[in-house]
Amino acid sequence: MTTPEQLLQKFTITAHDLELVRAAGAVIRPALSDFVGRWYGWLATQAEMNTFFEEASTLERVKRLQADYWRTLFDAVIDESYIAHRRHVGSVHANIDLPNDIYFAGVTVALDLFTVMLGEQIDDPPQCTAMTQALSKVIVLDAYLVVDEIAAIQKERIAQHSRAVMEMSTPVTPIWEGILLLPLVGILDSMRTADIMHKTLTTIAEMRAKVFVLDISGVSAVDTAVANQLIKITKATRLMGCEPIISGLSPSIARTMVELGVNVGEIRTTATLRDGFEIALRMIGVLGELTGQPQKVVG
Amino acid sequence: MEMPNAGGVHAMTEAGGVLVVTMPPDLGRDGLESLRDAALERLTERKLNAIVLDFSGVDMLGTADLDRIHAFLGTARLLGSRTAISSLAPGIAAFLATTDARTDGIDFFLGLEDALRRYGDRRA
Repeated sequence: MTTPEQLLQKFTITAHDLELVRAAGAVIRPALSDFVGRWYGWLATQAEMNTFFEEASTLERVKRLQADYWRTLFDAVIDESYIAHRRHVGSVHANIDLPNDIYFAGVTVALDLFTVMLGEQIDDPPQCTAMTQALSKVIVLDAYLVVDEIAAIQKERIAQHSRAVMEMSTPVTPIWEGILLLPLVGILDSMRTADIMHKTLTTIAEMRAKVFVLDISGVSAVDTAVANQLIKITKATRLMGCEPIISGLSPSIARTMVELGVNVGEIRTTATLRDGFEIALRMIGVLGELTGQPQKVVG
Repeated sequence: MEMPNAGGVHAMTEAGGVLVVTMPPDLGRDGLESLRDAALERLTERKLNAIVLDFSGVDMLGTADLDRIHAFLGTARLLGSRTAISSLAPGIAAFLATTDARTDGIDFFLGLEDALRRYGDRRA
């Protein structure tokens, strides 16, 4: 966690800069409501205005909040509380999905307006320039804090979605007493493979499954890496004492596996899920009961 | 019939012509050697049909451990016994599969009862 002191150092904001911001605030504060009015005058020319401020009451409330925002900026006390407030602003922006372009354009417009206001009221040009530069540094720091919070929230959202997709993408399901089915769909990578391995083995232990059917009809492509990962999953399955079957091998995937020299060893493979399921039923002895024929039973 | 090993940590049991060895959670090289010697002696003396190493109490197993166990069970096979491992934890199974550990000649069972059902009362 970055401390306020570290942030100030990183953004080269000195104690003198903060003094200059406070001095600029003394000039701008009396005209802050005028500033807010001019800033929203600019926003009214943007298409986003109607999207975010459909109700007049919302607009008035946000105008008041913005005035408070600038007052705290001109206080130039950058501590934990200040940082937390800016991050909160970022979370609000993230929640309303405020586009980055309108946010940065708004920051630029605010800085332009402040520069003009300072230029109109300060006769000493070098002092005016120094104030504007100090103000720019603090506004950039503010923008960083807001955007960093937006990025953190978006990153967490993506992680949540990934977890949800991962959860949905490995549906290890008991389809019969002692038989587990995992229909694989989409693209396999090492992370997903590790998740499949973990889920499959855990479910085998929990359900006491005797047979595991891995159906790859929905897998778009099989290369050496993917094939080897599938073999490892089935090998681990066998180490658990559960007999694996890989079903749904299309002719093209089977041909690719042969061309790549992938050794499936003693693992049963079938072209269709139906065939794989039939073998699984035979392995646990159920097919014999269903057809009235004696069958070899696993375990 | 139970017989604790020299360290008194693991136990061996006979059931239906099968020697069941309950593996301790913290099996070291020395522990495995004493276990191996005791188990092989028992297999020879009692003319048992199979040996099953039950891993239900083991959460971690390294490749070096498995290599020693593989050699141990290979020796048991030379003595005419069938060899099996039961109740491997999912994490161990995943680790062994990922590292391509040697497992040839060993049968694996979900639980000890599955192994006993397969091997029990079939004297060699």
